[in-house]
Amino acid sequence: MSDRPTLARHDGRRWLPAAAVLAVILAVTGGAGVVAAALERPGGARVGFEGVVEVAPEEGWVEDPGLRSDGTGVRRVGLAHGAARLVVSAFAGAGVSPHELAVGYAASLEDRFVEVRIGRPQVVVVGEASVGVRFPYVGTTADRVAVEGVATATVTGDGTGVVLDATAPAGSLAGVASDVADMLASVEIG
Amino acid sequence: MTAPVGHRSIGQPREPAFWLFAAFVAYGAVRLVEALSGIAGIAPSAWAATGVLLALYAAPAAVLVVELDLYEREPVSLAFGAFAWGAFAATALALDASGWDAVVAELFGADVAARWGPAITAPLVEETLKGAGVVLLYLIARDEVDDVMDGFVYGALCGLGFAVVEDVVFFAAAFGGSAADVLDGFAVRVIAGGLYGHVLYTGLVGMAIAEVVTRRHDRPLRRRLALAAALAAAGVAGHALWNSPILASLAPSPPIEGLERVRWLLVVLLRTAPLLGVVVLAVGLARRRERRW
Repeated sequence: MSDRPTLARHDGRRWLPAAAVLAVILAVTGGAGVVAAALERPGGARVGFEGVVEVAPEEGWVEDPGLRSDGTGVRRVGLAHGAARLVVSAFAGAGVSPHELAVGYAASLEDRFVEVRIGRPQVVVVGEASVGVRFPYVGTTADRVAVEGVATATVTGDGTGVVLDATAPAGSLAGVASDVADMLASVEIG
Repeated sequence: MTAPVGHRSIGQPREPAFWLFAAFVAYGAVRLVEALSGIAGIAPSAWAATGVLLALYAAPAAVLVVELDLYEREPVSLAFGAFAWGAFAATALALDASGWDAVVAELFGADVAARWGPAITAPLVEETLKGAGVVLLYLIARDEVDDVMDGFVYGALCGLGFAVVEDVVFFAAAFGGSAADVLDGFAVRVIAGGLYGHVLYTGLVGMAIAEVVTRRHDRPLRRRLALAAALAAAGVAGHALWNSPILASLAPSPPIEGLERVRWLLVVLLRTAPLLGVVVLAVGLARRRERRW
């Protein structure tokens, strides 16, 4: 009669199942980036409005034709990356400060969302040297989709209001935050 | 004669799967704090109410799921481990896998990705990541996963953890203004949806995994794989149906008042009745099997 306990398998093959699980996890998470990178088109030409605001798309961001509009007093163009969006709006003749533009834009969000919560604003530098006001927000669409966004408002030299609004499904904005930051850092404000 | 050493707790440092499990749960906890930091400061009043309500929802749901395993209660550490995998590891890894949305957009266009992306990518990605947790739990404590019912319990607890964190994000975003808003959101999203979401999807995935690894002695591999594929497909399909825009178009637009709440509830039942029926059948069969055992 042996006193030694019957131990579970302690051979090297116990690493294999765990390694297989790790491979699956890496394939699901990292594989997304590999496949997306293989399919992605390069950043492409700058989008925006000449002399007012132009944004250089990061790799994987493409202009969404559905977001372009040329309404009276407001022009809009947008970039898309999966479910994330960067919408650039230009308000002609706004004649307001970046803070006032931000307040007005925040108020307009109540028309877009059933529920919206606005975060604390902060003063930022947009592009090379333009002063802007940035605020985060979260909102719920009529389809009960939770969206988080960061809006940056600034004003051009001739008084045109510019708002760059980055949005994504709630919880996923962090995944495109660095792309958005790079695009905002390189934006050209007229 | 000596008794074999059983694995009664999740703390099995000799098992490589334990370290993998622990590493991803820790990674997930850190990653989630980072991802939620942008929302955290916007609706601080929502967090306390959200935490209380979700604790009231999650605790009874967890007890109910564990109680379904009539003949063999699962070790508390493994049950908590399953919940933690869903809450932290699976949610964080799902964020890391959000690039599949861009793949869908590249293949089918941005509009299709916005409407159908959640129904195409999320079910496959999330159920795979949650299922990976169930597999790791099996590798850590094989003795504790000895029947299909056990697979359901661990899968359901993974799903519950995932749903709780997902609901935290949703509540903070959508209903954080006042106590009345939070309660309204709780009634709409959690009670109307109830246990019909991630708990059931991943419960089925857990059953699929357990079918393969626990029925070696009484079913040939081909039949086990076929049954497992059917169970997993049912879970993924239920998840896809819930995320799809088809049924959302039938739901009334907010504000949902009066009789429209009945219409809302009918839409929810329509979404979940087939899946609930499948799960009731599957769980019934598993309990019958366990009773014979």
